[in-house]
Amino acid sequence: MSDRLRAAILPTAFALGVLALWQALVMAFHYPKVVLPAPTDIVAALIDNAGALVHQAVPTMRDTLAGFLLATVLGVGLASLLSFSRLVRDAVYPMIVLLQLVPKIAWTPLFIVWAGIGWPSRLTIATFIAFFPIFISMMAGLEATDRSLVRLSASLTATGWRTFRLVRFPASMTYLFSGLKIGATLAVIGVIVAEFISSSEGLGFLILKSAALLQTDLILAAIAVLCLLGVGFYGLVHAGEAAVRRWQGE
Amino acid sequence: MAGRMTVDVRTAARQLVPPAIGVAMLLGLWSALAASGLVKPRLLPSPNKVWQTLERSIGLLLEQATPTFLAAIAGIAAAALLGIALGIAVSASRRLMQAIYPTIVFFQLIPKVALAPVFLIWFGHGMAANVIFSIFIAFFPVLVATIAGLQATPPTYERLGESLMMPRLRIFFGVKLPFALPHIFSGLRIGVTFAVIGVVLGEFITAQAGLGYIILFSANNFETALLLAAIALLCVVGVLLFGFFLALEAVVLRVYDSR
Repeated sequence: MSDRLRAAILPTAFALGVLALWQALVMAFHYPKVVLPAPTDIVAALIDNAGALVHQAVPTMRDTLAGFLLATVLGVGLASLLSFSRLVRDAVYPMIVLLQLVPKIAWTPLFIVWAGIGWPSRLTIATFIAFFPIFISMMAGLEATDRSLVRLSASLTATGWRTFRLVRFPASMTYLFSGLKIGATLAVIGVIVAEFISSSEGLGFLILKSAALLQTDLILAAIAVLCLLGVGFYGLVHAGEAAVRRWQGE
Repeated sequence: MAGRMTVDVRTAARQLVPPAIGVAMLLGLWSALAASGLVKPRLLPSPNKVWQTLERSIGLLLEQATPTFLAAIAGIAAAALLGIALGIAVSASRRLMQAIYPTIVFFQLIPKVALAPVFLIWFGHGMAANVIFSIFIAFFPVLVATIAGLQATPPTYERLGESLMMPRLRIFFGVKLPFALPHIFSGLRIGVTFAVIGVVLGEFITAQAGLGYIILFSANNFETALLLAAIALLCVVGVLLFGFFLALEAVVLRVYDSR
């Protein structure tokens, strides 16, 4: 068996094995469906509630995407601005690094007080928590630019802006995309938590409502949809990275 | 000597003064905004008001911070043990790793917080459920970092150890673990913030005790000053735990360096 084939078969076999074991355990010990529904129960719930799931996935995805895009614009923008002034950078950067350490999800109720229980608060939360990894990685990328390249362009009498546009910005793309990947997962988390706390729409709302009704199969079906969206979103960022790489001719 | 000291003072000043000015400006802006009357005090109380609330309610806040703090410590401690142990076990065999690693990456990507209500169905609405959920979400970054770290040893070092006929256990502790430690600690740093998030999220949903409960309760009652005071205390909890792991990292890496 070639190594590449094995790398594809082994994980698939492992995942299928876990699912089969789960199904067998539920069937053998007759766990109540409330506690642990079998994978087949979850698939059934997925099919029965397909309409509701898609309906609730739309607002979740909308708020996540909008928050992520806004966080990208703000993060890249602020990092770029700060890269022009050492003094401002020294004043602002440590504060943002410190904020990076605190559990930001816990601030969700504060944003709901400020922005109400509608979609604006969910958008704000997604933006807020996705902003930090994007900003910090962009900042790291701009600082990691090869010094000799920067000096070379300065000695070729390039203006600060031209050096930024032609040297520093392109050089920071690898860093930026590692931040974007973290930001993409965090944006989903932010929206879901906000939907847990106060919402009448979205997958987070559906999950919490099903928990109150003890419909565990529907919770897990909603989570399956959410995983699909999350992985798809991550894949999109990954594809974006590949496109930028190709465009830069690497 | 004197010259070096002035340089030290100057670098320290350069590192401390701008951020201090930044914080002062932020607090000033916040005070001005609160005093101007543009924003309702119900939405944004002045820093002074928040400080007074913090002083007045410190007893209550500390009482509620205790379960949050303890649950987060239990969460990260168990997640660290499990994550490092499983990471070592998975790394022992190449095939095992090939089979399991993609599943781990998948779990790393999905929004695990969405599973919180399921944990509450499984483990009840007490502190135990919060701790277990906290372990669950803090575990993955530690596991992934341990696996990545154990792969970070340059192959020539391993081959050198083998050709010196070192036993596998000695290669592990003497060669592979030192290379893995910085990775493991970076995983622990992510894990510790996740552990706090897990506990607070559990408290949001069960709403019985803890700082998460206070935050949600004061948000529902528009007691924004108490809300901000509770968030400030939670930040202290987060930074304390983070600081502990930073210190542990410094100590462990120094011990390994001196050997």
